[in-house]
Amino acid sequence: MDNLTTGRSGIGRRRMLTGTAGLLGLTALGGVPILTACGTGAPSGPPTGPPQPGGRLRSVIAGRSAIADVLDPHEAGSSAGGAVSKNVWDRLVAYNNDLTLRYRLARSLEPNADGSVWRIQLRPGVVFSDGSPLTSRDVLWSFERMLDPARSSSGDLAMVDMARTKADGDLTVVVAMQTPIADFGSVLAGWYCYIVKNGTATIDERTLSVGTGPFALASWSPGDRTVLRRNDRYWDGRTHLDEVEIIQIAETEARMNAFLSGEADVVHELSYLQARNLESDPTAMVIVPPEGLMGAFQMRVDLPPFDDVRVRQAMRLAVDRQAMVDSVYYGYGEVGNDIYGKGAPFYNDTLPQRPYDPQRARELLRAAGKANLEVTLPTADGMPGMVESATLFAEQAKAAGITIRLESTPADTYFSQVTGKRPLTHIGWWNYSLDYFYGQTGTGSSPSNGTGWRRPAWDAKFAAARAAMDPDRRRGLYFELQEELWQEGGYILHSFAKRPDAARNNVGGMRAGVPGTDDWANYATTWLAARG
Amino acid sequence: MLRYFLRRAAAGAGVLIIVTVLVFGLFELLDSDAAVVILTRQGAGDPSPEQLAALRAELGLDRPAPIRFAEWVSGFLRGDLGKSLISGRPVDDVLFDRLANSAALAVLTIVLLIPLALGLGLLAGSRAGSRTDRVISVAALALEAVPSFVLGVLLVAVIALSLRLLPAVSLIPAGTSVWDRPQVLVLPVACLLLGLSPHPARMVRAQTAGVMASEYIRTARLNGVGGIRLILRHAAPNAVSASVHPLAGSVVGLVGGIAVVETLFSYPGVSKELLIAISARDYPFVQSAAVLLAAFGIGIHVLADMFALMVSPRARAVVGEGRW
Repeated sequence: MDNLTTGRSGIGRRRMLTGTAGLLGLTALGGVPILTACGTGAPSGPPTGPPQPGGRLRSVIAGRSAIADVLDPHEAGSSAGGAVSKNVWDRLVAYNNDLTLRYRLARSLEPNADGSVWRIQLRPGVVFSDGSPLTSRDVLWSFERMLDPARSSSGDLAMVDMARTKADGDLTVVVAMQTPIADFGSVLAGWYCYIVKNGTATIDERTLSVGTGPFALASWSPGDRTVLRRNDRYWDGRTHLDEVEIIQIAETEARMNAFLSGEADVVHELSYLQARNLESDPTAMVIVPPEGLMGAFQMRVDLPPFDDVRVRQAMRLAVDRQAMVDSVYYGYGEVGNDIYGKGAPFYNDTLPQRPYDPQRARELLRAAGKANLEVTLPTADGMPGMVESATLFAEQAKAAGITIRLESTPADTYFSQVTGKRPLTHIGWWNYSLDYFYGQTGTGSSPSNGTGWRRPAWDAKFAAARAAMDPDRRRGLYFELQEELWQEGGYILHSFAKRPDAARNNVGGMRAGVPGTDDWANYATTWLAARG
Repeated sequence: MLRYFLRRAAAGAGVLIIVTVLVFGLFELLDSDAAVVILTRQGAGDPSPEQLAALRAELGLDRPAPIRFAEWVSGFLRGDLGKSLISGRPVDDVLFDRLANSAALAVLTIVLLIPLALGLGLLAGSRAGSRTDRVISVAALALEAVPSFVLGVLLVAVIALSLRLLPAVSLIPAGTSVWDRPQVLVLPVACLLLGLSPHPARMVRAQTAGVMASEYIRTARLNGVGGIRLILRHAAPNAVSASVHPLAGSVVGLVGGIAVVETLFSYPGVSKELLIAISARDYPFVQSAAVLLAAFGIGIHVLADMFALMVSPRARAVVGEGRW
């Protein structure tokens, strides 16, 4: 994060000075030029001319049931919860689609020499929707609230030492760390890390707390819908819509039907097939994000038969990646190369693309004494394309003499109970910085290490990479770490699937966002053209 | 008669107790709990064991199952349905709202189902072998063979999406009643009727056809009783009593049918809520909703038994003689 570490206040157009400048070319594939200017995703879609003010946008998105739904941005984990949170509150920094960071409420983040203390400078002139100014006290309160053991907050700030964290005037917070950290920005850009007003306790339909975002809460009915109205005091440009109604429909088919029958102007989280069918609808547009989410299987490197590296390589050669992208994701995606994080800073794009080579896979299996390998793959209808990718993989692997038996398991607990617990499973993570992802999955002490990858030397190098304050050294270390995983790791990462959204043709200013990033389901720049 | 009713009611209560224990037991066998659900987010990692332990302690999930069960039962008997484990919201805040929505669907369906099934069955059975009979019988058999969600998908595709006559999803903004937007009920009710009416209609038809071929109807005809009067006075009572149990079965089948329809149309009823609550491992809600739904099913069957007794002289005689 060089632009964060040099201490320049990087407002305005920033560019990652990484060797992965090719990323900027990639965004063009999405058909939407994304500026990394602060807070401006480029509008897309047919309505042209200047944005028209007014109107109520109705958006449908997957949510939770009425009994389980929460409004608190520090707890709301569902897609709908995320959409509401980002339109009402702000983070200090947020993810761009390529996982670089944009400054939001923070004007700069500066570490000391070893990353044990970070200085957060707040943007001046920001006010909450009730008119009170944003100060360092609000930030301290939000951190305390996320760290409060009595609350079921999911914000992950465990590395912050609150006892030694202090405000330094109205617009500066000095954060002390339990352990040094080189990339505090990625932590602050996390899903739950919103800044709420000092003193905010409960956030529900009776309190409707204030935020600094483009909209303010007007009403909330759990499990059903949230109505937002324009925040005229918003600090980052003018919001066009009068109101936004975020309607929750959990079922993909019903959600699409709501959009098709005119009950909504925007629909999120379509299936790939629905998006493909919608391409031919002249009254709607499909919005494809510039980057995809991992589509992958994982092998436990510590369990037979995958404890032999030749078997793992054979499995990776037995998947036809292009066929996966074309038939499972209907073309909405790119082929993967068995390592996580395409498009993210420090992603190793210099490794050769692994091909589909069943013949070579056969030879490797014979050499390993595992010819005619038989493995079981538990699968479930948990995410779009899961079952389809498992079925197709089983078909493709036959050419290498591998028999993959599919076993159906319950979808609602697949990712908490099955994945990583059996030798071969699906794995699905949204996009995070490599720092965060490998911290969660790659080391001997990671909580979600689903490949059983435990190598002290790799862990040590990873710790060095995380703490390296010099970006070139960091990149070098990260490239080596990924190369080792590409050679010997447990991921069969076949695709990066781009999750499409869709909108009616009278909706302007929609941003093409990767799920989980700041542009996704963000209506700050959205407007409605008069219906012709 | 009263003794018989009380015995049936007591048996029903016994079944309900068994169901309650079963639901809780099955729930305990599930492979995760609310703590896991709360701490797991789509596209992210697993919670750490320490986090899980802390949250389980906070939610009281670390206590033995019998204690938790006893707590729920004592609360339920006092009318306190408990709080959601996920959000802390009181269960009755949501449950009764949702039950009212489901009841609207159920009542409307029953009100239309009974005359529809009886009418079609009598019409077909009174003219066994005629063209009317053949059309009704074949249609009923065909509909019975198609799962109701397939019918629902077809209805949505044709009526809502192609013809744009009715909403494709039955959204009811919170704070408004389903009766403010009655059009959202049309497709769900139609879907339920198509799924539930064929079976009782065919039973009524078979019974009516049997009665019409009997000696006593022929005698009535010879005595100059004819047409509508013959059917309503002489054939229908027998047919109706024979159809009480299939109809009661259909009404109980409503519970399952409504679950499908609510999911399909995203209708905010209790079944949809229950399905999501199960996947969220929110046992206070699941227990309360499941027990209330079971009570409804058992209650309908007891009532159907009583009604069948009232319309069937022979059964009354059997019960009266104390052979039950």
